[in-house]
Amino acid sequence: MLDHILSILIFFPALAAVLGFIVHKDSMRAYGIIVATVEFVLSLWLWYSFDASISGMQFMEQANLIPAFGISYLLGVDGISLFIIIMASFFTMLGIATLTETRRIKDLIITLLFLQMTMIGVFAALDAILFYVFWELSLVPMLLIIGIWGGPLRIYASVKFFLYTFTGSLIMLVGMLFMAYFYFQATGQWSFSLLEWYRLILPENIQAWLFVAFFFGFAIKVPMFPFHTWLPYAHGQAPTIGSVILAAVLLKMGTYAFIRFSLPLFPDASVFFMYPIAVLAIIMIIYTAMVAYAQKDIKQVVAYSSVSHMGVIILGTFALNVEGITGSVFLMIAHGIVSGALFLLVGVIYDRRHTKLMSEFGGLAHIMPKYALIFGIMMMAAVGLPLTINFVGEFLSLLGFYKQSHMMTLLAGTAIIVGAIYMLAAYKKAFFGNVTKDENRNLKDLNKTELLGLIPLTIIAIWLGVYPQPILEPINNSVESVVQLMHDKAISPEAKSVIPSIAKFEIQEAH
Amino acid sequence: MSSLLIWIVLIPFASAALLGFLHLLLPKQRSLHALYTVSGIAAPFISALMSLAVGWELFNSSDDMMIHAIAFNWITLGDLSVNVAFMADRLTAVMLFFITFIGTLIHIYAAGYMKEEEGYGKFFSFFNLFMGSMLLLVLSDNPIMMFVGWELVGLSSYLLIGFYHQESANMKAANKAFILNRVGDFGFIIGLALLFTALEGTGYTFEAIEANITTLDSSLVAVIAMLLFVGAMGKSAQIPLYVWLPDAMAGPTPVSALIHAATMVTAGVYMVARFAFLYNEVPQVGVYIATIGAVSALFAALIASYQSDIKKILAYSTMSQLGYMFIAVGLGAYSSGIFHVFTHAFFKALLFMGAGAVIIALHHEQNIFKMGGLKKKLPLVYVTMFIATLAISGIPPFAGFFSKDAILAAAFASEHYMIWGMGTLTAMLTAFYMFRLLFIVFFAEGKMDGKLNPLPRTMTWPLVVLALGSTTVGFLGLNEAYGGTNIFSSFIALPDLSHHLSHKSEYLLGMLNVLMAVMGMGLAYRLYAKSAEEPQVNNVWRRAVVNKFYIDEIYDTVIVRTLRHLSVFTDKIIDQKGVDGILHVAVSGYKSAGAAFAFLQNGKVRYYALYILSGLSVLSLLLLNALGGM
Repeated sequence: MLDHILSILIFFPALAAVLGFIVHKDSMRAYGIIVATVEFVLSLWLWYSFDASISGMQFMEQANLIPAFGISYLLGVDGISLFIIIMASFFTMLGIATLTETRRIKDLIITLLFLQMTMIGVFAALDAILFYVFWELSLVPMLLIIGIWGGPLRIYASVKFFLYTFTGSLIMLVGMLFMAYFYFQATGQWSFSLLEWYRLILPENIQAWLFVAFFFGFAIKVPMFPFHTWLPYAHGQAPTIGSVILAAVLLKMGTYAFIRFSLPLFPDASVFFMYPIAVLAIIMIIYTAMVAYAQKDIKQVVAYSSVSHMGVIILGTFALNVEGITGSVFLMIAHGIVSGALFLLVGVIYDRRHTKLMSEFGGLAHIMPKYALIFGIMMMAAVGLPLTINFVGEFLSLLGFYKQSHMMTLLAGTAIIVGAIYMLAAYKKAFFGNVTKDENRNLKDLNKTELLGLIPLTIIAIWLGVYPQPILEPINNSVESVVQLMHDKAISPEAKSVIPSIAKFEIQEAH
Repeated sequence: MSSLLIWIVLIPFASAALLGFLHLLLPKQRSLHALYTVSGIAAPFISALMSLAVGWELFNSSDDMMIHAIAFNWITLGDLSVNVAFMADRLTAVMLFFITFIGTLIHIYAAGYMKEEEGYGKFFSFFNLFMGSMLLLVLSDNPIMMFVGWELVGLSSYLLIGFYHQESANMKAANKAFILNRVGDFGFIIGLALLFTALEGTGYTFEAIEANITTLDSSLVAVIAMLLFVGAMGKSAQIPLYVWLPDAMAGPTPVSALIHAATMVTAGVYMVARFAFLYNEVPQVGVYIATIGAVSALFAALIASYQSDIKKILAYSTMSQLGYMFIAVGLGAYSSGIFHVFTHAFFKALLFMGAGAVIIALHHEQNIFKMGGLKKKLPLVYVTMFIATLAISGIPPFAGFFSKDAILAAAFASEHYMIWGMGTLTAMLTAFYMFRLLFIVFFAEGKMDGKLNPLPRTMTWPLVVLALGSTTVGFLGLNEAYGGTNIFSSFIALPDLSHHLSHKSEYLLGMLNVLMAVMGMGLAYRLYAKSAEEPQVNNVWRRAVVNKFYIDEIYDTVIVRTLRHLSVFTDKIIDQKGVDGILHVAVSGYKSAGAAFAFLQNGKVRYYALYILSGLSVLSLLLLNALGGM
């Protein structure tokens, strides 16, 4: 079974989704929870069987799909994708378990299970076409979730989400086709296998063009400045579950793809574009932090702050060294946990009051102390307080980029201060002061279901902040091999000097 | 022995977690009060006992002895390796001693002060968290863990300053404290990052950094030293990051005592002393630090002289005394600086606790001009406060005299006469504003009618202990000129930059200090001992001082509002009209292009025939061209 665990992880939820059509709608929730829990346990089993000392791909599966064009069904995980896969199954489980939506519940759960397939597929696929298929398929369930269960502007938001990301993906597809063509030119055979693409060394100008093509696909997904305007609408209109999955997992596809595709395939181009992208990332960090400060809707504050932190992930990734990339992968997990939790928390208050405007609240700490505590912990995690999960990721990402440029890191770091300003201001407005609205006086504190969802997230946010090593180590091993690959492949001496060589591998070679 | 270090830090954290959970689960349970009190006080007390054991061990070994304890590996990444590890040397032992000892006394006091509060359990949970964070800060064996403690101290102060969170102004103060501390922390972490990158992985612990520091270029070290000091400016409330400290009085009085005496504000001074090896490399940065310290000291003393809120006077006096400490550590007199931290902890804790007792007795009145004549009514508070006032004013033989004298002597000996002059002037102002407070509250005619609140014993006997301390601890630092051997500085063994000063000049300086103090005292007596009126704000100077030189207003306009307006502008104009606007233009361009092309596809056969005809013509032309060329 372990040989096919990745296929099982991908297709079990899809199969369960199809079978879900014959389940009665009253028992659909239970069905969804059971399926998602089994899936989560399977993903934990994947972690348990994962060998942290191996830096390469594990649990590989291969089957030819279209041999003439070298398209195959190729799966595998390494330390970079492992934890994102676990997080995807974790959030699907939590999301279904804490679902408060009552409209068309059956359709919603089927959609979520289908979404789960596409998410895990993206992070496990090692064939470009397979990756592309899952990548595009993931748009459909999210389009439905926003478009059917969303707020008043849901149609505009969902269409904007779909068209925007779809446009980027098409440019990316063109890039992939060209990449395969160049591979064909060089070797005489077609292949879409990433692992084989890794061996190909391309001339610098071709690298640059392909890098840009992939960049559009990934950057819109992240979303990077100035391609971010679809996200506030999507979050603003999406139901809680949609925002949680979107922020926690779907956005990570973009940052993950940078590490999986752009860096190792185009090392020279990555070095060439390092500063321009870092500038975009820094603008993104500061700009969205400021926009967040201007918001009146608490969900928008969380949404923009989430984008702001994605900027730190990009910055870490394009530090092109082990600290930065490991930090950014860790921050992907951290960001998932924290922003996922924050969206869940916003959902809690929205369910009770059907508004997200901060001016409608005030004094909640007095009425809902447990809610205030968990929100407070997550807010502190979001502003990167030490001993919370975000700090480790942010610290490493910024330390990584610090080695490339002091001044730019300094600029990015100012977001640490602005982040504290808008988060504390929002928290003060909603939770402190006197209770000004009578409607708020009798609000119930967190119920059991909500606690069930939030307590594990709180524990993870603190546990991995205090003791990050268990997941940092496997990530680090895989990142080191990526960096070494980039170093070896880089053509220009400049790129070779920017991308460090890993001492460990040099010793191995010497033997 | 080494595992003790871990427990010293862990116990307050564990107690904080326990109390926090209990309070959250059973918020209205008054029967838990006893448990809150016991656990809340026991945690710092046990840490204090263990700290004494550690101190004793260090006392009995050579002066470079260090005790190490590694809890676990935190991050290992390439050449970056950070452990959650603790280290105690003699500097740590001194810090540990007064943090835990005075901390315990403040906890006991708080049990009396807060006993009527609804959030009693929550309060002790936060209080223990504060202790734990501070202990983590002083015990950590590497700067990263120190930074962790550093930030957690900021968090605890945020929680405690905003303890009465139903009052919006208190939360404003709490946010201000957190954010200004963050500004400092940002400088600190950037300094650390620069240090680590410069050392290229050869040093992540204090020891390793010390061993490799000489390999660095001194201009780089200067930048690092400056950045680290930005952190100290935030935590220790020096110009320009001090504005949070007076507002932090929004918290309950025991919190002020804890922040100002035992924890938090001393962190900056401790940090500079911990990095003494680094600051000794760059004396020019040290002079800059000393100057900031001197200006802060004088500036705060001026403001304190015109305040009428008892806690605000004490707050500014803390800032002023911290200025002295930075004069000392800046000029390389680390042991004098830490000695002043040490003595200050006693009398400042005492002053705050005495003020708290007065406030409670007078039913939460904080304006000194509404008090008066309490000498008879609160004799114990009066006597202990008197001792503390003598100590802070630098009247021998009370503790403050010896530490302040050592700092001013060091400033004089290092020939920074400007700094010395400002320090001496501040000494006079200190005596003035402190005796002003004392005379108005205890001597001047009473303006309060009605019965005083009775004070519980937990609030009074810590005052006595601290009064004893304020009287005696100064003798630990008795130097040669006064016939002692300076036990304190020979124990703490810091790498002081020493300057020689003859005994005669030491006596002269000491006499001058006493003279200044007596002058300040006399002036205060003449103005305020009989009757005290709230000062008239009748000229520009007074208005400026009473309004604290409008620094808060300036910060508010220049920074806070600008950021706010800029944010709204970014959101409403740039994001919605600009970035998203371009997209909309593109979309509408696409739409109108579609409309234009739709004209072609109009269903009229004659148009289509025309298309076919033109298509055929073009093709034929092409063909003709191609074939013709053959």
